Amino acid sequence: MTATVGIIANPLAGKDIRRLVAEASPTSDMAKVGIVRRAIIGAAEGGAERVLLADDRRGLGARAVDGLEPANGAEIVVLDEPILDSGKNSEQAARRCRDEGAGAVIVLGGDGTHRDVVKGWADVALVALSTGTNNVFPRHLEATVAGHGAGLVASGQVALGDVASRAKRLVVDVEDGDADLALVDVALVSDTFTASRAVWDPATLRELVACIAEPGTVGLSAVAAAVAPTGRFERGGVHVRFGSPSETSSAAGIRVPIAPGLYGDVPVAGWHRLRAGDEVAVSGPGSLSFDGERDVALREGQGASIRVGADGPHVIDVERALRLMNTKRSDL
Amino acid sequence: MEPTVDILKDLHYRMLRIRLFEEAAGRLFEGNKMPGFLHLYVGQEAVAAGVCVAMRDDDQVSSTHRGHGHLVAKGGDLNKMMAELMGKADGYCNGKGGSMHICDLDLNMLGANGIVGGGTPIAVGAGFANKYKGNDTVSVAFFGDGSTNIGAFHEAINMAAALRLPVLFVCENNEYGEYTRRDKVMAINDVVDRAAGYGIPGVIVDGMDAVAVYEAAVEGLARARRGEGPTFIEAKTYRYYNHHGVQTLGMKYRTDEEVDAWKAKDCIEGFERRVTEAGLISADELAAVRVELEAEVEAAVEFGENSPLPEVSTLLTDVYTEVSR
Repeated sequence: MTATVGIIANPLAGKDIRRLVAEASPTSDMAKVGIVRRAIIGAAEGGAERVLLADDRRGLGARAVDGLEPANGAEIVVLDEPILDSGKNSEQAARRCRDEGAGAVIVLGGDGTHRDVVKGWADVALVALSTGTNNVFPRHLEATVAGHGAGLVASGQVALGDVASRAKRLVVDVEDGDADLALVDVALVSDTFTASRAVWDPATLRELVACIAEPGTVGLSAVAAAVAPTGRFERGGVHVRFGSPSETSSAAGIRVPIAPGLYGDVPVAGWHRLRAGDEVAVSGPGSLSFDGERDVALREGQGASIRVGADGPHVIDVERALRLMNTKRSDL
Repeated sequence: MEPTVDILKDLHYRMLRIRLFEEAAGRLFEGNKMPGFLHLYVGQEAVAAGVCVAMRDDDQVSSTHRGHGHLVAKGGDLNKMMAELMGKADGYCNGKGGSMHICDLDLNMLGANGIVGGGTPIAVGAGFANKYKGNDTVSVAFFGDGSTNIGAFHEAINMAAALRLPVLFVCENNEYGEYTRRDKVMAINDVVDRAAGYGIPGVIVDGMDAVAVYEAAVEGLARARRGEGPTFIEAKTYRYYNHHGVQTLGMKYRTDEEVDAWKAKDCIEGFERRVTEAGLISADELAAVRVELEAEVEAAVEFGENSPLPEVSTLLTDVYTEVSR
């Protein structure tokens, strides 16, 4: 079977309102094109014979491959999908990568982009690269070596089982709605509208469920990390309830970076740890935010349940893959 | 910032007022009752409404060849607008300007503009004047994606950035410059990428969502008022009708599927569904607003039809400004 690596880059990542309400930096198309080119070069070097590049009519992918001749004569296929101008683009691209037999998928974007990819392909083997705003799920890693790691896995030079760990996911069921998922956190916020999507005002927080709560992150996950740190590969999660500032003493307010360069006093009213499978029920009115972005509006009394599942995507540890390959070489 | 119910009602009122006015103008145009050019704003209402609701009355607007929506959102007089589109003497420009020159300086609407990219320098000039006078008025430049390829746009935004002028740049990216797809004439996907090149912050918002536009406009206007200079907002939006007029010209420059996909995100339908579902505004109240606005538009059509054509003797009046010596 042809060693195939998929690349899914979200053209919209790094351009939302957090550049006005916080101090987030913009990520330009040119920056993304450079990242995609480096990932392709790395993937070919790592052994990929075919690289599938998700694209839409916006043409980010087509420009990224312009004049590019990767090593080993690796073939680059631009998957031209209809323009949807939403997370659906990444979702449908993930399904295409699955159907085309990709052995690994490099995702370039933020937490939201990774969530969309997993919605399209639940047990994808992915290399998670951060190009978004305040990301918890993907890590900062140079695209060249990220591509290389994906190439090693897709070509079978290192076994997926030796270098990947299964991430958790939050399984969300919305009453009268679609089943949904998140990779980091789900929050109930008081906003009636999903509008500009980002969550940056602590006063709007009502409840939070996080399956990754690691100190050193920015965003809602940082709130959970402040009360009950939970590693990405540890079992279980955290449920945090918030009160209005008047209900909670100022001592209970926890100061965390809620967005890049923006600290907020978060009125924590209580919290408890969740075991795998424990269910948290929330209900409207308000909006549900998934991985930091308002996405589903809840009417008065409309319920939703959230639980931590152990069956998230396979996350490839690039450094481990490269180290394993180097060890094999030194054996020769 | 969560908008109040009063703000939500205002957003709805302005969006629907634009929609109904434009639909009526389109019908008249199709029925050969309207001369000249007609660039309809239908589809993009959330942008004009979202920004104008966030503005103060003394804040100024510069507009485009697709400018009816901006004047309606600023509170324009539908009678004078409809008469102007019909070329009648009671119109905003006494019937001699037409669709692309409507303006109302009393409402601080500095004019539609037939020259692509022509409106932006006007907003920057207003911004310069506001800074020079030391007031805290902000000027807003509405412009399309295509106009950002024009030299005047570059010079204007560069000057606004360099002098930290109180200007909000609102790009209505509807994906087409007349009949040409954006990606045929631009090597970037998002116009907002240009903001960093001028040294100002820029964000993308869903231009089919009035609340999203409003949220970003509130922040951009506040920055300008605090003396922090210009902000760039790119609203992803779409026009439902042709570049000019209503029907396509037989030139298939976009697919039916694409048009339908955008219509499925309609700014007014989505808004009405959400506010009624959330119990913020009742369906009866929304319906009453529609009835009121339909009557206002109907009266405007009648006003325009009954207005006389300009007298031949006025041909040379208003050509030059009278200067007192």
